[in-house]
Amino acid sequence: MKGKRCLMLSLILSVAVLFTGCLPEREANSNRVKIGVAFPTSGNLAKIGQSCTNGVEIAADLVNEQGIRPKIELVKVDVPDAVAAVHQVNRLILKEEIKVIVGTYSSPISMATSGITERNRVVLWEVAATDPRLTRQGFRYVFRPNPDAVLYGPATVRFLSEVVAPKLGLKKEEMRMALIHEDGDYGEGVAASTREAAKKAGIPIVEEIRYNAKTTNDLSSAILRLKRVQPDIINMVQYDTDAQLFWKQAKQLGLNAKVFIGNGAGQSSDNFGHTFGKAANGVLDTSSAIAVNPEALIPEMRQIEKTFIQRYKQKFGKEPDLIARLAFSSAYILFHDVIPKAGGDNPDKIRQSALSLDQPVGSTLVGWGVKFDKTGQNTRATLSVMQWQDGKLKVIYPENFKKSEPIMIPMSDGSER
Amino acid sequence: MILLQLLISGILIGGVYALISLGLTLVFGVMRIVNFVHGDLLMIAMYMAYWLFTLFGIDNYTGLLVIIPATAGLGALIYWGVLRFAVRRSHDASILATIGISIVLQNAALILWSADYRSINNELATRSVEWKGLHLSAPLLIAFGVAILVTLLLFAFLNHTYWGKAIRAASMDRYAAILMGVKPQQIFTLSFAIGTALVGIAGALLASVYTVYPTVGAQFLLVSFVVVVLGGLGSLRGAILGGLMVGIVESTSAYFIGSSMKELVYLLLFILILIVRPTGLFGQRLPEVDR
Repeated sequence: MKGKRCLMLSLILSVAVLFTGCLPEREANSNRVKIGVAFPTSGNLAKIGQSCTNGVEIAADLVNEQGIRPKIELVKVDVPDAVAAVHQVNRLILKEEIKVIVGTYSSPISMATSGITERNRVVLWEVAATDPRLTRQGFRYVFRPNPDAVLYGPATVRFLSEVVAPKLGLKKEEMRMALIHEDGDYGEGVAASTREAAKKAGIPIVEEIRYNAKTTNDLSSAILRLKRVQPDIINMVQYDTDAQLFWKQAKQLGLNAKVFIGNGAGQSSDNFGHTFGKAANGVLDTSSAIAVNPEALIPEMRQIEKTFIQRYKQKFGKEPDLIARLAFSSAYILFHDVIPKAGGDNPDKIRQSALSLDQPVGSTLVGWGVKFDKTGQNTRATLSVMQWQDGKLKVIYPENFKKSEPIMIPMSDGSER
Repeated sequence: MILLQLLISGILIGGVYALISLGLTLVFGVMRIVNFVHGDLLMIAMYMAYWLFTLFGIDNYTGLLVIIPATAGLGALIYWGVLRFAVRRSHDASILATIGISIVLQNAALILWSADYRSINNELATRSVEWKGLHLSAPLLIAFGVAILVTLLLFAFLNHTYWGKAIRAASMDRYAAILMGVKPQQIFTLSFAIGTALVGIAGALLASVYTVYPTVGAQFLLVSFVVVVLGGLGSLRGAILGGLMVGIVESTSAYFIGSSMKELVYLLLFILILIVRPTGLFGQRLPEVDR
């Protein structure tokens, strides 16, 4: 008797649940999609993750205001490391029934996330991680609008050959380059591509130093080794804290070189400028461009750039930094072009829609074009070279992107910096 | 020449490690508390120095006048508010309590000051003293000098004042100390306040060397645990010697073997010493605390 009643009750309940679950949502779905936003907003990477989240938020705001449908609704989660990412992304997919996730900034987090999204047939729209392996796993639903790590080396070497060598009055074979980089995925990946590109161009690499960015409190031994070989060019791949420590100690120990060039992260972070101000002058950085010459952008994007900066300041009380711009730019493509064309969040339709995009260089905020290849990698993402000038990061290369002329090549002695 | 420069760099950074470890070892010696909040107190002190500099233009050395009493007060508050209830219980209680406070402080810092990496860059921060071709980092040199001064003051306090002797008595035998009229809660509050003030000094001095962000403590906590255990838990002399050893081993192995390998080298050395002397260099088998 009791068992029967229980059975009846559960039957009624499940039917009721089915109905409540079905009816209103189907209706809403046609002009509204939920997008997962997964960045590290606590822990070591919190600063960068927060900027990314802010950028994505503004992108959704702008697209929604333009009256484009489906309307974008963001569900934000914090993924400070790969383990947390697995939990949170699973929750987004299973509980919130989300079909598209924008994330994740860090390569290890992205690799962990991509395994889960792919298994559940969910789109991962990666706006910042550079690990080349991400788009080489044969996955169908991973898209990366930004460049991968293998592009850093060639971009740096091209700049060194075309701009630096003539200014120094040296042949490529005479420019002695040293590498110093953190020993994680990011540092090793970028350094490997730099090594290879330098070898091809005939630029000799005279020293390579690795260190652990998380545990290093002192870089003086590394700097002393660099001093011993006296390179013309010092190429750095560093995160925020170690980049600042390196620059302070380089000055203390009197390390001089004609060119200091970084690769994103540490040297392109606004913290570098906040801390050093004019003392950062002359430091170069190969990275996605912070603000390209407006001439290089299509007119529509010039307008959007203005609105974006204005809205960002209004909402978060500060200027967008480089990573916020990148996240905005990539999320904007997704919200403005890909999802409306797909007519919703069906992953297969999104894949079709993304693969059919064919936008020329200059059509995004950071100057790239958009053309995804079969692996989901954007083939029109390019890197620029920037330089710190009077506490600001200015784009100086390539020619059509640049807003300022390069200065201080070669660089003056540390005592005058 | 290069060896001498490495040695000097190692000694300077070792002085920093020693300064951070002093407070940790003092608290353990007296209260038998493994203090996981130590690194985060360093973080708080670094933020204090940063804000004093940014908002009021007070450089981090003058700032010590404010930071020492402030951190000591914070230490006393943490003891009275939380640790008082954990100190007589098992180690698990104090470990969980300190880890808990650590999480609270880190996230409070994240909410209050965001995750931005902040750093003081005053005149001294990038200055160095040059002497016969050797470079000595000015802020580290000052930190080292202050570390020596503070250590001397601490020894004088512990050996020549009533309160200092009471602290030592309580760390040697709590039961006997109570019988002699020492009030344990007072002594514990005092030692935790001193321990926090020591790490406060370290934080203020380091604010011009390192970048401060909410989880900066973790970067120093591990190495200071190594230093403290290496020197012998609870031994102040051991903390200083351990700090210098780790500093020198780090800088020489980073140069000759590679920066990625330096933790490996000092941790191997650490294991070796623990095999030969399980109580650390100056450690004695401490009597279990009477509960």
